[in-house]
Amino acid sequence: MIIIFGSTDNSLCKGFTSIMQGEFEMSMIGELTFFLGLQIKQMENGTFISQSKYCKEVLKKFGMDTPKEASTPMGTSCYLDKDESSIEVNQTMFRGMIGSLLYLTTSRPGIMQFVCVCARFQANPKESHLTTVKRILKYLKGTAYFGLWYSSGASPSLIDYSDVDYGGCKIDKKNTSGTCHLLGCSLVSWHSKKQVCVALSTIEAKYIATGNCCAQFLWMKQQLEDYNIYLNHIPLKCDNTSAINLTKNPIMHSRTKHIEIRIHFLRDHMNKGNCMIEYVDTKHQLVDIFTKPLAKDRFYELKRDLGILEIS
Amino acid sequence: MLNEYEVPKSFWADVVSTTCYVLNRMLIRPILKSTPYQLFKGKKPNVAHLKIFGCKCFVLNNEKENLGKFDSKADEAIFLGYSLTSKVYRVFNRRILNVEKSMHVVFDEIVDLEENPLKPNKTNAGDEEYLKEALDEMYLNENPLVEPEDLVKSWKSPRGLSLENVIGDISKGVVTRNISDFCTTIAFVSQIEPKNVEEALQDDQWCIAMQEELNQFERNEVWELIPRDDSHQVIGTKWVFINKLDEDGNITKNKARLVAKGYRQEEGIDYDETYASVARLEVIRLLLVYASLMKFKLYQMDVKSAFLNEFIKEDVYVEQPPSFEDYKFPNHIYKLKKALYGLKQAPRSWYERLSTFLLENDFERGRIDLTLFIKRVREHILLVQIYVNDNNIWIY
Repeated sequence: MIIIFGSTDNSLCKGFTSIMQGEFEMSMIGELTFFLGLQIKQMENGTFISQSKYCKEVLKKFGMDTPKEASTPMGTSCYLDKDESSIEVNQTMFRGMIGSLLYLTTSRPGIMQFVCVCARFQANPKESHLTTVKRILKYLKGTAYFGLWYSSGASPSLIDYSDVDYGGCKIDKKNTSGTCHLLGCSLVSWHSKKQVCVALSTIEAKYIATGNCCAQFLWMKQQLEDYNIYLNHIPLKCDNTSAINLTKNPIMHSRTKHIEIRIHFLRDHMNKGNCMIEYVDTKHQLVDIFTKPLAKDRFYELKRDLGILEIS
Repeated sequence: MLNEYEVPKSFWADVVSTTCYVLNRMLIRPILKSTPYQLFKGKKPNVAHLKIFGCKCFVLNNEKENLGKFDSKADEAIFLGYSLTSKVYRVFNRRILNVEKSMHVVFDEIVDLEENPLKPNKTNAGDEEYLKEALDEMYLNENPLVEPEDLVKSWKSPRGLSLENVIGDISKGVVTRNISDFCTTIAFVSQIEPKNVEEALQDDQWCIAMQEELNQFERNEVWELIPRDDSHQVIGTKWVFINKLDEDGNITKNKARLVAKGYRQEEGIDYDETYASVARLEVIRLLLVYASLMKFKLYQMDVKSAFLNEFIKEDVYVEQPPSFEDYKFPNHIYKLKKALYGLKQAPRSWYERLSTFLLENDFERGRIDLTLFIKRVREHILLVQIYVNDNNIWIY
């Protein structure tokens, strides 16, 4: 049973500690440094969270503590399919790798998309899939000390990005949607998920992604209200102008019901003043890292922009 | 080691060799988490054959000489160590006064506690003298008596050794490097993690740990002993043993915990509601960002034996802890007053206890996140995020 607490006023913290000590038996009280495998460093100008210890354990567990390092988690030309003709690999080990890597995404959003792609082949892993997972481990080997940097002092404003990798999945041509949410330049929440239905057009695919994004930020908005932060007109960045126009004009381009519902859902929240959809240049689209494999330079640029850094 | 069973000092070389043999199989390297033997051979050492150095043992004297019908088949011997090449034990045969190696050895390791203080008086001095003389003679003559021929090889170095050739005082013992700091952690903490109660009872440190757990139950008035009644559904209990590690992987504490076999509980009889909300990792990250934006520090506290604080509503009966039954009423059962680890309602009852306590103290619950509690005083805010994690660790 762990309790995390903090206050803008230090005397409130002291008061809380003393009433808790009066009521329960405490074994440890101190600054938050280590929680569920997350190493947390609270400094003067910000907070740094990393999982370097866990990362090293994972590498050691799968015998990857000696090989050479890779600069990116996945090559840009890498496309995975079922690969039915190839040799089967140990399923238990493969699943173990995926499970360990999924927990590692808590502080390493950079590998999120690649782990999720590999996770889709857990039912029948083949040699090519194992090679891809090993590439991720090799990448981690070189970047074990990376983590998320939350700098202090920025104004608490929320920005959401969403994008989609159209026709990204080779097997069933479904799209991968990616979203991320930044609170005052700090990456708080993100996801990378294959969409559940096949989209007929880019706009349709974008709408599914933007709808997911909207649902997530509504949750965050609620949560922030508990913290005394009230936000309105949250910018939702999208790089497709026709998708933006569609929310503004009530013209019914789309013919499928699920898309219609999503358009109404978004338009409803725009009218209420919860969010506004804005155009963002592809160059400044931060969410690319969650939708497709990138070249080394772009990958590092995005990582830096999202605050995935190494601090010694 | 020489003193424990008053083994003649001339066997000091065997002490060194046996110590090395045992330490190589027992000492767990802190960071590597394995024994030197394991590192070298790549497999776990077998320690089932380890015996107390110098203890009394009986070695079969079969086929060495003709025995009469009523002659004893075994000779009394002193246990000296292990062979490096095969599975045999090295023993000093008290009858023929020679070191021999044999598989057929029966050990008498029991130290009679009552007899021990009298030991110096009981052993007659003559016997000691006689032994020593015989030994010296054996070494000086360099003429070992009968030895099984295939085992002679490794017993070469001490044979040519006479007391005059030894440099220094042999009664002084072997001087090693300073080991004081490593004693502090190793001496009071057991390095093993027993699999069941029987194994744990062999180890003093684990016995203390189990007793501590039961004492805590007494202090917190967790349960009361009542006569067994057939109408009660009784849930079994089980000991769980876990070594707590620090950040570098050193064992800092042996923790024994008594858990209830919660999987035997039936819905509606033993429990009703079991859901307890757990904080999402996203919430923790959001809290961290908020703290760094508002420039305040976050703290954590750990509530000890979380579940033992809470009274439960349902009637739950558990068996007495294995190997710690009440000697007066071995057939009685315990009626629980407070929740025990492993019970299905444990996390929920604990969450309820804490939330009522916090709500009484002017906290308000988060509107969507039920594990967040907020206290607002003027423009200041106190955030409390709770995380009930114990249950996941202890369910077996």
